Amino acid sequence: MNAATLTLDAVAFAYNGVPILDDLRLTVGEGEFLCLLGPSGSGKSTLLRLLAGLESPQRGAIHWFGQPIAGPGIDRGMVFQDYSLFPWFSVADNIALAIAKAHPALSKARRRELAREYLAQVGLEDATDKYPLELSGGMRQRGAIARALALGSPMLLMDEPFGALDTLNRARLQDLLLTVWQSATPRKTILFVTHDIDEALYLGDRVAVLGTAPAQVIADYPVPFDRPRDRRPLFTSVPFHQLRETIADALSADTVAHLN
Amino acid sequence: MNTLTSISTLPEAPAVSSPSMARRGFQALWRWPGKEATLLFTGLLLAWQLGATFFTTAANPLLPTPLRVAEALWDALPELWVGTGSSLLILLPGYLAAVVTGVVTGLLVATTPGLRRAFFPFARVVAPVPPTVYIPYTIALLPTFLLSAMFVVFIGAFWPVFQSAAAGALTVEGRYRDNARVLGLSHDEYLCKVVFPASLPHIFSGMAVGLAFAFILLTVAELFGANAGLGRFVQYYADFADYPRMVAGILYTGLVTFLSLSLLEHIRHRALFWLK
Repeated sequence: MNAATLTLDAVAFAYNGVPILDDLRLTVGEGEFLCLLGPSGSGKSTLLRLLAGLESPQRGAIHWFGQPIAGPGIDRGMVFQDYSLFPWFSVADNIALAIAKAHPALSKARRRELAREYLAQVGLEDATDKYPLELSGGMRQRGAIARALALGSPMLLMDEPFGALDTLNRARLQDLLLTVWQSATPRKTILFVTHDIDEALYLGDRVAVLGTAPAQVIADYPVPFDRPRDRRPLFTSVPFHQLRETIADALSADTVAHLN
Repeated sequence: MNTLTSISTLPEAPAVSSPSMARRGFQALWRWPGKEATLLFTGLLLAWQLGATFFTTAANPLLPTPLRVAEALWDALPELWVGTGSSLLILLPGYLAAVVTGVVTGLLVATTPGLRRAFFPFARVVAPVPPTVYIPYTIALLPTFLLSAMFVVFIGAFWPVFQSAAAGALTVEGRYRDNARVLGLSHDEYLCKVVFPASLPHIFSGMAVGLAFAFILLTVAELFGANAGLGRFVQYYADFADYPRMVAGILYTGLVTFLSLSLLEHIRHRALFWLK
């Protein structure tokens, strides 16, 4: 792992008096692909909102390149589950909005040109003038990824971005995300929230498991599989199954512990 | 044989096909989507004709027959046409000014906590005042009838637009706000590119209420001091007991209002194409 670029130290957050996160500690290295895994309601999304600066922790500190996170900033791109694009703008205009923020000096024509390039990168070159309503869920998420890329942020925060997609589209977008991530230098740091263990193990360099609320990181596993990963051999390999079982056990042990 | 067969088959063919065609035509009419509305209109027209025939005496022609009203409408069309122009000259500036100021102030007030605390209680007290009560005062206060009528239309249309714009801005979904924040949009950009489009569905319903109000106030204002216009037309012929023209004026005013609201609905549909 590279030097830690993101550190969360004893972070606590409560929503309307209900504790969501408590004494959460986590470090993420530069260019690392970290998957956050946890049962629903475990505060995974809350954690991402804290990192995005949309919420502030009540206790503890979050540092990003040595600086505390004080609010939202375009140095962190966010991909939501199904609503990253404004429905009243065309796909290209949505992307151009992000480009205008990342490169305020560019002319309008150049911004649109760049928007086209980003859309081509996610396979949406034929949908630039379409509106989000006209797109399938998978195409909308491609657009959301293009927008996050267009912001040019070194960190991507992804909140179950493929959770609403069918299996085929989900696999396609996972591969797209990996291609985009691996082709960029320097690599972006990605925090990817999911509740799907297979997805976490296919995508991540590391998997951090959150427990039931108030959540902490209850387990943290490096994912040792070589890249590029190939689904079929990976999903049938023994090490994959062992790690999968270990993580599933950690999750269910935590659930059982909270039931008693 | 030839003639025999032709004689025996010829009359049969239409005898079989004509009732089935008639039935098909009847079925098509029955399936016609506007049939209930057409039935109601025809029924009302019949009731009007019957009422006019049985209850109206020559001495008191309060209820002219539909045909007489149609004739009066035809005769009065040039005058009504001029009246429409005169009325729209009051309605459009007043209404458009109300829409622009209503949307701008509604969005600004709703998104600025200080203004919200100042204006919301004020609006709650002032908005329910029936705008017609301002008419005598504005006529006294403003130099011309045209200006006072425009102002009254403005007041009538302003509050519905203001309130709907404010309601739209207050109910902007959290996800749009989150997106604006992670994109680092400035407050002005947030207002123009997020709050305004997100509030458009609310704004359009306020605009429709405002337009209906504007027509009411326009015609009421015209009763006070206009020398042309739709409300004035109706009042003028009522004063002369020319009821066919008066009823024609009522129907015509209804048509103009209906067409204006339909046009607004059309614009709404076009502007909100991105909605589900």
